[in-house]
Amino acid sequence: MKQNINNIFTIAQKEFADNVWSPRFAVLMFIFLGISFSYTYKIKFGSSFIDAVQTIAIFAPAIGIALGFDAVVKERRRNSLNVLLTHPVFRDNIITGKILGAMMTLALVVFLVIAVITGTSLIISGKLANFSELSRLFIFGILTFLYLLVFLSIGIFTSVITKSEINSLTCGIIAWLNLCVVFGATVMIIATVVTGYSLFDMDDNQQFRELTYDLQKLSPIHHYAEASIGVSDLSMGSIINQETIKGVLDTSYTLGEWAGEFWENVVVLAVISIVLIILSYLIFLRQDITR
Amino acid sequence: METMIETDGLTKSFGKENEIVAVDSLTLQVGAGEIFGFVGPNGAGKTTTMKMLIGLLEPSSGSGRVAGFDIVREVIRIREVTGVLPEPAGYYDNLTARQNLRFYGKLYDIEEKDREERVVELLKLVGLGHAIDQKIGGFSTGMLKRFGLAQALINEPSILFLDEPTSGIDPLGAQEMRDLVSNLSRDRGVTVFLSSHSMTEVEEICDRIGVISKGRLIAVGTVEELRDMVREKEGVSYLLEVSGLAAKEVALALERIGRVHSVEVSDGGIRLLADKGARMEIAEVVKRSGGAVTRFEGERMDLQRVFLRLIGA
Ligand SMILES: Nc1ncnc2c1ncn2[C@@H]1O[C@H](COP(=O)(O)OP(=O)(O)OP(=O)(O)O)[C@@H](O)[C@H]1O
Ligand SMILES: [Mg+2]
Repeated sequence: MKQNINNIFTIAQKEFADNVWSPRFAVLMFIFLGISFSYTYKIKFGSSFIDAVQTIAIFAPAIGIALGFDAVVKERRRNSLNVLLTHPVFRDNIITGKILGAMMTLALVVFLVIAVITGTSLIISGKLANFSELSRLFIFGILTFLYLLVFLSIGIFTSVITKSEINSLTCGIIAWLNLCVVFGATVMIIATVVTGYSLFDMDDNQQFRELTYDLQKLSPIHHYAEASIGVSDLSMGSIINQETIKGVLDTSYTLGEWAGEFWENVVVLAVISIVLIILSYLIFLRQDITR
Repeated sequence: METMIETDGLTKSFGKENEIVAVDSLTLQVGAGEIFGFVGPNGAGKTTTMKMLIGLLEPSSGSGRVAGFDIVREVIRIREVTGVLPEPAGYYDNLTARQNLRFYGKLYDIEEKDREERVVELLKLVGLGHAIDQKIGGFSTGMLKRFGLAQALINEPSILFLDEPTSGIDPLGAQEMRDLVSNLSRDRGVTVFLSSHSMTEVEEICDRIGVISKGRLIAVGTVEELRDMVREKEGVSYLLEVSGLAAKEVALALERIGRVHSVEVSDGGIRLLADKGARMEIAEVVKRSGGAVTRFEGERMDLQRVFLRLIGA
């Protein structure tokens, strides 16, 4: 048992180091932190915080995918899994270690992003956030982590089921584009086709709007958007329904009120990841990985 | 002698209806300290056998024990006391040899200080002393095989499984690899189970050889025993020179002996293929026909031919 936990950590540690020192990761982080900085900076010129969150919501999932997509498939294809398995490690130790290592990297990503955002705000407004804002920021960080974890899990899942890195990456990118980027537009098209109304039928689009909001629930971006800033979608071209509580950063409501309103969104985000991870486990454990 | 590896009717089949029988009722024993060569052509079932022995594949039927541990139920125990050089094998290109080996070392309960020492020691042992801090990604095939051996030795195993340890490396490198393996067996008493495509390659270091073809173990024994087996089955080829009598006449007389399978007259003398025990009778017949035997040699069959005969090619 002790050795098992040891092995999981050994593998997780290696996965973390591999990720952090990989040029791919550095490039993605550089670009992404740059974007976060510039969006936050723009707040000074009348842009709202929602833009910074939208950047995270749309682009950060790519980092989640990038951290997961080659986790298993690369080891299998390079035959390093073949060697690893001749040592006293259980298969589930291997995948657990990999997931854990990737999650550690993800936590680092979220931390850096939040640090950049707060740092930038600090430069702009010149004052330190008070304690309540810090705890809200912390919860916002957890939300962001859970949201990105969904995409990490998608990456891990495709890395288990596909035969090559490029296939896995393709699946991941398709998932990302559909769930985060063009999602709002897709929803609108479906709603238009189904109801026969459109956004521009000013007087009678109740049915259209209801269907749109229902469909939005299908993407993790909806749950993240709701819980973080109280809007129903953040993908490009989406129709937004504004909630009364503007998410976790809305200081006019207590955190208790926030939790009462949005706990379901948080649970959904966590459940999607858990389901994907369990599926990845089950498939990996049954796979003939020696070929 | 204590048995370190034993299998009983070990069988593995693949495919939806188990139509591909990769290993068929394999029964064998390997004793402690022995170097056992597992020889067979491509697709014979060597790798599949090894995978079952180290618990990477579950047998379809039959059973086996390695170091006394059951190959299905005590897989982790087996891996703790064995070292494996699998084929194919891959490592982490972005890490150095030292970092790679350290990683494998961490999977065992070894003190950090001992581990670091062992890592360097092993890399030197396999001839990678100059490349300890080089990235594995830049290693040649030969260097990778050497690293593979180091990696297999990280837990000071009492049993080594080496799948084609010399394939893909140059003759000198292959020789060094063989020397390393036989030293390990001699100095540390390690039991070695190694596979190869070629008899000539393993005869030098193996105490015993098992020949496998199409999943079946065809023959087991020392090189000499295997030679004998072929002789037993197919007869021995002799070179005979006779004086005082025309070769043609001798040939005619010999052909009448039941235990002589074929006779062929050539410039160098008479070549014949006969049963193993027919030597006396042949000499007798020559003498009775009025000739004198001036030369009578059993030809030593070269190993590759022994192998080909055994696998029925
Ligand atoms: N996972 C698998 N699924 C289906 N068939 C398999 C599988 N693994 C091995 N086989 C088949 O089993 C047979 C034995 O394969 P194995 O790899 O054990 O041979 P080998 O003796 O190691 O050959 P080589 O010298 O080429 O390495 C082959 O016909 C191979 O195609
Ligand atoms: Mg093989």
